[in-house]
Amino acid sequence: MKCTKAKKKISVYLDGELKEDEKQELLNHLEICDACRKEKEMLSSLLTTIEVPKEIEAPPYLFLKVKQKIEHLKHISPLPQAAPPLRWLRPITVGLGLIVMFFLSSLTGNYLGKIILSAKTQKESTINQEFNTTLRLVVFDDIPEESFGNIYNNLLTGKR
Amino acid sequence: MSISKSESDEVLIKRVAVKNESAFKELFSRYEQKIFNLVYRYIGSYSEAEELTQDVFIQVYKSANKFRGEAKFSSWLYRITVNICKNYKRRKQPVVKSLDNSNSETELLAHATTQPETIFKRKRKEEIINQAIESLPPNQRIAFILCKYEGHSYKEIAGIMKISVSAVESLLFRAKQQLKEKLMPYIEKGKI
Repeated sequence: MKCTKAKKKISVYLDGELKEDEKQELLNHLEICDACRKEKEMLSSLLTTIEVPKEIEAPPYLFLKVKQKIEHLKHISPLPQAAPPLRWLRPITVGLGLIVMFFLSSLTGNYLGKIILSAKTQKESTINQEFNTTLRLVVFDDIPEESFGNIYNNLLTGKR
Repeated sequence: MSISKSESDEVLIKRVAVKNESAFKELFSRYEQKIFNLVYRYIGSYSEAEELTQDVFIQVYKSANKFRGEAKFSSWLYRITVNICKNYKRRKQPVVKSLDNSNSETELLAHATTQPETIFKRKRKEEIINQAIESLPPNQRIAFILCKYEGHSYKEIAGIMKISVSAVESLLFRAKQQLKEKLMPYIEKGKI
């Protein structure tokens, strides 16, 4: 065992928390290492010195004071009531909530999808109509007799 | 509803959750001394320890319905105590005291009341030790007090502080090293 590890284990050993195998390993190390043995003695002496009387008497009437404070708190803000004993219901409630949320979101999505699709279809049909009107061969029909276009055309072609 | 002395803490706290005063009183009497001692050793002031002990039990009364029974009641109670102490210390301005402070309250009191020298020495020793413990970082101090003065095992301390057993080992090792550094000069000079 190295000294750094031994020093840590001394602390555990003095608290009576060292496992039997580690304890034996430490004791073997202490037999051959003066520095660690000195460390153990020093720490042991320190811990003995700082022993203080085990119990310090609590002040009298402490329970009465606590009771008074609780009563006072009840007047200011009601203390929380006991939790409902059905704690096991919580995961079920959460699960049900998730299912309801799933259905609601599906319904909303379906409804919104229909609206968007109908608007899109309407728009597409308008575009198609315009497209057909614009590109129909109607534009190549004869120019009306009295129109400015026809007069101009006649002038260009030398017709009267 | 009558309360039997043999009833476990866990049964009692469930009754406290439905605001049973006798159960609360029984739990209070079981832990009053221990909690007061822990708070006093952590805070170092009798009057403040009294106030904080009250706060701990009020907190127990208020949050009894939150006790799930996963850990022992005592671990839960000590955790509440440790949290209240840490929060209190965090809020409070730290008072820096020197271990060599010759105008300490205890000393002045000892002179004023002309106590015998032995009582003065004992008080002085307690004061030096308390100040050295108070100067430890919060987690080291809590682990040290729980281990040294409250007699908890490493496993129990780990449960109370919600850390691993090896972390407890490490905290205690560092605490003892710091205390050794601070107190050994006094021990060598025979002052404590």
